[in-house]
Amino acid sequence: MMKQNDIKKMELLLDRYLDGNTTYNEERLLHSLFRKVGNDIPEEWHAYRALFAFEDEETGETMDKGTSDESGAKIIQMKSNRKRKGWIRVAVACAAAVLIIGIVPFVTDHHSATTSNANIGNYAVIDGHRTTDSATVKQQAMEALNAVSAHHDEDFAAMTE
Amino acid sequence: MSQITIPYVIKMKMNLKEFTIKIIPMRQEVLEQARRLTGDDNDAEDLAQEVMLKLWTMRESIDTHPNVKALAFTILHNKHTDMWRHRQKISQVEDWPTDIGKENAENDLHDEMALIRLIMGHLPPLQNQIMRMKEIEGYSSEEIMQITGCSADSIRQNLSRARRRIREDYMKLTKRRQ
Repeated sequence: MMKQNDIKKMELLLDRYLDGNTTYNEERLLHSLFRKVGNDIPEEWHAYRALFAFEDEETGETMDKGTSDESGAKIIQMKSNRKRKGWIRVAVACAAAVLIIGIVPFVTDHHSATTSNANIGNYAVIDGHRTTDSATVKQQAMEALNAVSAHHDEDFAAMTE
Repeated sequence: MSQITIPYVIKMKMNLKEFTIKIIPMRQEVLEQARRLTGDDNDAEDLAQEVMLKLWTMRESIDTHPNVKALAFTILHNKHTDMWRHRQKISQVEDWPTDIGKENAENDLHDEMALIRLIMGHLPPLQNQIMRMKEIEGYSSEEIMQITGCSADSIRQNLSRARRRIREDYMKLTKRRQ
């Protein structure tokens, strides 16, 4: 049976929760406590137990996970999932950049071969000059990739609290 | 000019910073139109927040939309209709199903969660959305404030109303089925 003192403390915290005044950590604590209490609670708290269990299920937290630290870590992980989606976009953008860089020399070569029957082989055109130097091509490609990833870092910065 | 560059900007999903710059400035016009529709400052504020939240959920495609302002006003009219329908619905005396939990005699946790899902579905749309963003999707109050363009107190009030309503409806419904 819960001690009277503990019930009083919980009541105060739940009142703050109802008023929308609890902090993030206090809310994680409430979730954690209600996971462990079972039926040993006043009847008017059943609504909270059901609500927190419902939210845990929706966020993918399991019902029997222990301490508030663990639940806090879970939520941090959940928030970072949104960021992970961002990384997937970066990866897709990089893959697209690599494809474009791969295709440009081919297209240029094909065009030149059909119009002037000129040099055969792979090359790239940089600032109007044809080059077959793979080091130069690689450097340009890396700069293009950096431009893409630098752009997306701003997105992460804005989404971070 | 170098040919080995990205030929066009690969458009990323609009982030919170871009959203604040491009979309939030329309909020005032949306709010004024909402006032004309509802004739009530509180309802207008709720509708404006709902429109901003809806635009946020559409941020992936919003950059390519030909007329974002027209889109915002269309959303506003739809949300206004939803608000009106919601009020019609809750004014009908007993909207809740009468057989909640009866098929499951024991009041187990699964049953309780199903009841919470049902209650949340009956919340006013703005309260439901803010509750979901804050408590399930992991948004902070600051992020919701930036997206909706409303005050911290308005977010707190909506959360408080939603939480109280869930608790009251839950108690009412569990009492009824005993």
